[in-house]
Amino acid sequence: MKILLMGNPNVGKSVVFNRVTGTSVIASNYPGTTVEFTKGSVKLDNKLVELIDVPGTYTLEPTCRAEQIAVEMLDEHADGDIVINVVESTNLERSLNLTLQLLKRKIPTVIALNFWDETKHKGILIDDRKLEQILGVPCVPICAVTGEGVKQLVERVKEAKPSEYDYEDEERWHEVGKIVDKVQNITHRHHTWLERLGDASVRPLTGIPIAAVVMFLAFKVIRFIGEGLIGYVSEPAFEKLWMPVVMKLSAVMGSGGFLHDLVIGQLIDGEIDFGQSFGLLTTGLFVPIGAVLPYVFAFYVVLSLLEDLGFIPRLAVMVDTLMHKLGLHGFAISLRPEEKNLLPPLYCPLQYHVPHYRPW
Amino acid sequence: MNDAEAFRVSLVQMRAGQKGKIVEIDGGFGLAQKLDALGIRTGREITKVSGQLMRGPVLLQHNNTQAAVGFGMASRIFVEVHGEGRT
Repeated sequence: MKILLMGNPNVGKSVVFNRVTGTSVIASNYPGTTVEFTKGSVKLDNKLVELIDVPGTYTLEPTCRAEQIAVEMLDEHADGDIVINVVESTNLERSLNLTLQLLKRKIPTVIALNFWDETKHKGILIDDRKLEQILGVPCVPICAVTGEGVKQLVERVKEAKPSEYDYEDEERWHEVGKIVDKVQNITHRHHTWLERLGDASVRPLTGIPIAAVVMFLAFKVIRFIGEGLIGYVSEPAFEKLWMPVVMKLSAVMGSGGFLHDLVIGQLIDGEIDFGQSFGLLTTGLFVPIGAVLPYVFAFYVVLSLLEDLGFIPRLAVMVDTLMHKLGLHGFAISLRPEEKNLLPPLYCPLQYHVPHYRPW
Repeated sequence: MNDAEAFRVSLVQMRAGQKGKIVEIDGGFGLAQKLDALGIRTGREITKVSGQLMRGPVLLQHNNTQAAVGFGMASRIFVEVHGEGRT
């Protein structure tokens, strides 16, 4: 028996995954592809069950490689497997498109209504009981970031059952509309300043200056963090901790000779200079670890923050034309290219853990 | 917003801020399917949020969702604009 965690890209599947699984999480590539998925296990009635974080997809009629793999993983399911469909409560309509396609497969399913706490801020009211009645599968409101509802979700996994819900494929969006009308109530709400800022950041007239300012600030912050780390952490560490070790080694090797020059490098005024000695254990270690790594770290901190703010997808839209001239897509600047064309709200839930990003 | 006032333009021709209803997607099955997955399909009420200079992507909004569509695709999506349609 295994559990497949499925949903649109960016609905917090990975956060749910991290919440319910313990240690021994394995990230692997789907055979023959670079599409990555993670596997872990979850304890159900004292039994360990495999949990798979399937790549995000908007539809089971695949439009790209990652979506194709999501569908293949679903096709490979065996009897007794269960699907947990993670749904974005603040974007019910878009999410239910995939949900209805999943339910049609008649695989036992549980629906996790993620971002439940966010619905209140957005003036969205969802009747989860009614949704459960209509779809005929358990619907559990959760907030993966804080962990609320995750325990109930795991408890209700055993109630998972194939849905009785039936519809014609051509009528799917119509069905989605009908369901949303029945279970969701949106109260009027004024535009927040973040929404205004979000809109301003994609109009050419305001967006280009905003992009320029943000990129200038990003550059400044990266340099500030990077130089700070070098000046206060890596350089002192090399000078105070590593220097005595290599100096001793240099003395042992007789302060000269071919091997000494290779390992320690040239002594400058009888001292090792980490920038100019050019030995394997001196400059060879200092440049990548002491000088470059702090900048790489700073770069990813800033980029992750911009990504979580929702600015990067907007920047991708702004620079798309330019990037096409280079033969790339605008979304090439994103760490999460699976985001594709949908823009998340400009807002900072800080829901993604930095280790989630893989720079390669 | 009666039908006599509505007229048909492509997403590219719409002005930012204009609202309308998608009436036609002029493309094959692949395009229709790709757009469908993003919630863009005929009959949908949408608002154009912005376009970009030099044949850049068009940003549109429906309900709570914003989606960016490349210029080529946007020029194949036709919208019936409500009210006085100045383009």
